[in-house]
Amino acid sequence: MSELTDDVLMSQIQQQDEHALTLLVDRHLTALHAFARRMLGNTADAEDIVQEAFLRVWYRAHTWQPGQAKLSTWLHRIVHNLCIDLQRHRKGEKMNINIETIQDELAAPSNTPEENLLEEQTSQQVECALQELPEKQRSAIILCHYQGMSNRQAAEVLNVSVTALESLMARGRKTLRQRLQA
Amino acid sequence: MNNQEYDMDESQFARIVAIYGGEIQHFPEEYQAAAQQLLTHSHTARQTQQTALTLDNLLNTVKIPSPSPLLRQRILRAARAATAPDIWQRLWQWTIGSSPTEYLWRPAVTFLLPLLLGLTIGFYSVQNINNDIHAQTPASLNMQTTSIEQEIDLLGLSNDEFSGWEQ
Repeated sequence: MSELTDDVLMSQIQQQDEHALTLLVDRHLTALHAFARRMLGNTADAEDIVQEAFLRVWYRAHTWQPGQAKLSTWLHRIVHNLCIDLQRHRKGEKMNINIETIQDELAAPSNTPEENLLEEQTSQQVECALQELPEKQRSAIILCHYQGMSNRQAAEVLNVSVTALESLMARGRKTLRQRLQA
Repeated sequence: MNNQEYDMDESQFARIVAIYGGEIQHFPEEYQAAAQQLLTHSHTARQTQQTALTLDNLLNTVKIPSPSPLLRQRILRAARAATAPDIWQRLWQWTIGSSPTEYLWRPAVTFLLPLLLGLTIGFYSVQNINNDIHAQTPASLNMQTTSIEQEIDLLGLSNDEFSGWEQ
């Protein structure tokens, strides 16, 4: 059986078809979860955000217009906006990056304990450096480097021009390089 | 080395690497072939790429675990629990579509139907009233008067009753 396209799934979700929503969740959950997790540095918050994003798709499916953008771009934009809202809501609070949770999550059983420790430390440093980047620079790097989006898609998610996106990427990478070399 | 024979020169390559990093697959598609071609010939380009790859490798150390299966269940349960839109919301969605201009005929028909229905009912009501008025002939009016007098008699309120009181 040929795989249903995202547009077909969305038209079925517009008719409140739960099976279509299940297929959509299975198709996009991993990518959206990774995106939210990288944006927030926190698994619990990321899970809440992804759940909220899919519920918005369910409630507001009628606002989806096929042909205007790729569905994955639209979904990333929803998750991005929710992450930004959460971070602004918590402005002033220190980002809740739980080092122990990260260590548990990232444990790589195939390496030696020393290698694991070194890798975990490096990973934590990189993640902290990413979290310290200005909001849009971080989003741009996560979308292009980790989510594998094209520059046009990422620019659409962030609602900026491709030139602006490239500027954000270049400044973000420069800052990261300086912080991680220090 | 003369870069003019390639589609991309070293400074263009350095600019793209500064933005997208050293992994060619992250470059915009239109630059990938030219960048690959330049890398096979330019030592400087390869050095630029290696420097950028250091940061890419660091970024790649941050691994994200897969979402828990419970999250999937949680999302689907929450969606099922969500209240389905009622009949009016569904009617509104059907009428408007995803944008006000999607189906122009639907809002037009929806708003014209009650108007047509009202006009039709109004027209037939007026016609029935006219028919009733024309149907009331003098004979029928006499019959109505007689039946009213009979009702007064039955109630014992005829003129004979009152005449005794006057004496």
